[in-house]
Amino acid sequence: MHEVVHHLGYLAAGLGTTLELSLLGFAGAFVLGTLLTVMRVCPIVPLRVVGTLYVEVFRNVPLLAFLVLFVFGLPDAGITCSLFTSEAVCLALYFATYVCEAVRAGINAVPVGQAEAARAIGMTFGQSLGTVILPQAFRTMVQPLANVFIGVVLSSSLGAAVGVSELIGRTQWLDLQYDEPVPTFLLAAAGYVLVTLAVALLAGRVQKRMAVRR
Amino acid sequence: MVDDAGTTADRTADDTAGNGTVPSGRVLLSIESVSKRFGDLVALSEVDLDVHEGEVVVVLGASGSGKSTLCRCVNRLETVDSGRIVFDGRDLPQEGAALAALRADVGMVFQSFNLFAHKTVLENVVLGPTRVRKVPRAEAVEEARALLDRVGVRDKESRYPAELSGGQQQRVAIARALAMHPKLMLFDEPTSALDPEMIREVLDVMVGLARDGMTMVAVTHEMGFARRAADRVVFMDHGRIVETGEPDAFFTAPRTERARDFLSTILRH
Amino acid sequence: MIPLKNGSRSDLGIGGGTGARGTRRRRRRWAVAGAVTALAGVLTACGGGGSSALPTPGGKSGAGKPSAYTQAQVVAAAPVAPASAITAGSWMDKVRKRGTLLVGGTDSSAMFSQRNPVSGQLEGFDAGLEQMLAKYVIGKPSTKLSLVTVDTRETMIQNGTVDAVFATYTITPQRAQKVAFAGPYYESGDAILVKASTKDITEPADLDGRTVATEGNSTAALDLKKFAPKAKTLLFQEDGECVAAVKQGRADAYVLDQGILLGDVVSDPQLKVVGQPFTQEPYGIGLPKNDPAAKVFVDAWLKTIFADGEWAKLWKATIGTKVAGAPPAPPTIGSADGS
Repeated sequence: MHEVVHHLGYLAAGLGTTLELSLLGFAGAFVLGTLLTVMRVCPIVPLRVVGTLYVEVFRNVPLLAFLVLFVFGLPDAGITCSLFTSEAVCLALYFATYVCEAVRAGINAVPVGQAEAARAIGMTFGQSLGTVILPQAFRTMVQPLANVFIGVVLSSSLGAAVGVSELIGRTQWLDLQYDEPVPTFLLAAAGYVLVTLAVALLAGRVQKRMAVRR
Repeated sequence: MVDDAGTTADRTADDTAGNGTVPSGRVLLSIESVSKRFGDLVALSEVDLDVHEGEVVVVLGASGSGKSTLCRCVNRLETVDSGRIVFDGRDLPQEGAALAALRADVGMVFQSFNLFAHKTVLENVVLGPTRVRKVPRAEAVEEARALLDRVGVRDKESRYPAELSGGQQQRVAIARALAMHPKLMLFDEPTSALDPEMIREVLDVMVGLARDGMTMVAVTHEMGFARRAADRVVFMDHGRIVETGEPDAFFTAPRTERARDFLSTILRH
Repeated sequence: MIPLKNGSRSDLGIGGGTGARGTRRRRRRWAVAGAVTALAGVLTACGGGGSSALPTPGGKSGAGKPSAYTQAQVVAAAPVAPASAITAGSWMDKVRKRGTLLVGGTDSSAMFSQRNPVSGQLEGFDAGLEQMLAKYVIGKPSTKLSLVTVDTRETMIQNGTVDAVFATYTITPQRAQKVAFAGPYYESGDAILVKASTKDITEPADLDGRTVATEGNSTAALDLKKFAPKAKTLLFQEDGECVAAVKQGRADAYVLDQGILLGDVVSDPQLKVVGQPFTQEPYGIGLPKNDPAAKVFVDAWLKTIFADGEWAKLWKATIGTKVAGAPPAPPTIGSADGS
């Protein structure tokens, strides 16, 4: 496999960056996405509008365009963060919309009676959401959320286009040096498959363990 | 405490207030000419009903007669289109914390139990007091166990709802409602989803509650319960209250045609 | 789409843009305000050549002038090979019999080979050369372009999908093991772009320890590693992004082909190019290795157009519209390692 095998460590470090980006991005997306869902199901109309608008806007812009805007546009507005931070934030802002859709589907999967029972014992909207609805919704969402996470992992490769030295960035660099696109990109692909398979397997297990019996 | 003596068969919601034939307590719940539509369907039409402290009212009627809607309007799981509902001296709050506070004072038992599926039996009962009433957890747990004891499912406290029979789940649901120390208990067809052999265990708990003086509005077809525990039977048809009476009188000699028809259908089964 | 300084390119839908990932061109991409170049090309073509009323590309005097010749005129005046040069059964014989030169290249490399969105014609130095070669072999400039990528160039020559590759194709010994290179026909080199206010970067050694931007699919990244091993490299997709990175302070400098950098500086007084090119990039014409006559023939043709001034005229009509000064002297055939 040519000279490329001598650079496994270099690629592995790229995979590390990919994972860091993905975990940070997903964590942000998870928090923001859940918040967006709460906004979209809450009784306060302006919040619902803002939540819906956010999702519609962000879901309809290609992530790459968004990333380039973020990296090269914000500095003109006086905000310059590192490329890594920029991409992590972009991933979070972008994938929040996917988390939001997953959480909404999860909430819809919780029987209406659960919410009524929560309200009937005097819980406020926030209490019933926080202690009754969301905890049950999240259990049905393990698989959809894992899919979102896989989406974040794969999309983090766009960072290569804005100078982030993650797995694809490093793969391109090796390719540039050795002119061997097939083995380098095969290695990179193997890295991604490894991560996504692990996530899918883990999600399957967690899903089984967490499932709510009805 | 339940005053089942000296009732008259022909009293109505409107004339109960002054004649002293029903429980001596004050009016706890007052429903005044309440109407409610679902699209073209009239669910409630100019319904009037007063419920006194300590009184047990059984609401009867064919399916679609509006009895469940009436029950759900009392704690505002449904909103009303017109009329007013006064509970404990105050109009029902529209929303927010005041509405939550009202609901905490009104216990509700659903046809489909609606126990929190992701919580154990004990947690189901503890959740309301700790979250809503801010009762210290140890205290809430102690009381929850006492309540579970009272409804006969203490030994299931660490099980999840899905591991219990329907009758056991419904008794837990009653305990969950009681844990809030409600001033009024609403029962929305509490035995309709149960197998026959489980109905009795739930009814026994409800009768016990009535004996202890709980103010109750129960939507149920269980004549046995009505005869044993109810002070008053309210019969609804097409969104209206068409007959009100003392249970024995109502079941043996209904005054309206519709009530007679209805009773004949449920007695036949 | 993207608020880059040179965003006009994207507006016209030409240039690399996001699609560059698909057809990565490893070599220099003359990405500077490609739309302006293309527009200039159209105007020159329509104007019948040499009209002094044409706008100056780049918007500044001395930055390259409208050529006295259009690419089409240069091709029209190009020589045709004597019949004796085309031996029966050879590579050039096959091309002549077919009547079309099958070319591997790109249609989105500004100044080298870019499709004019209005006329549909390929414009640029590489495009002009392939038309001239077709004319030399066949008698008319009949070419058919197949898009190639960095990954497919050698393969497409080896399996005969194309007769020749014109794609800002740097001659390297490794590549020369798979294909034959005629040329070099053009030489380029990396330079350094910094903010006009930067005083302490004047040569590659100054880049050590600095953050340096370059295009991810250019060999400048490798050159940088050689000349300033301790530089932290930021790889971007496009020229405009690298320029923005320097202006926004993400990068201390931007290293790429000097021609491109000069183009950037022309349109922006906040930037400057420092020092002389510190690398040599010899571009060659990729040919099949299995017919040595092909390389001999194409080399001979290159010498002909070097000598009769056609090469310099083509430079003026293409790269010269963007880069200041007189045409450089043509490189020496066979001077690159691998040619």
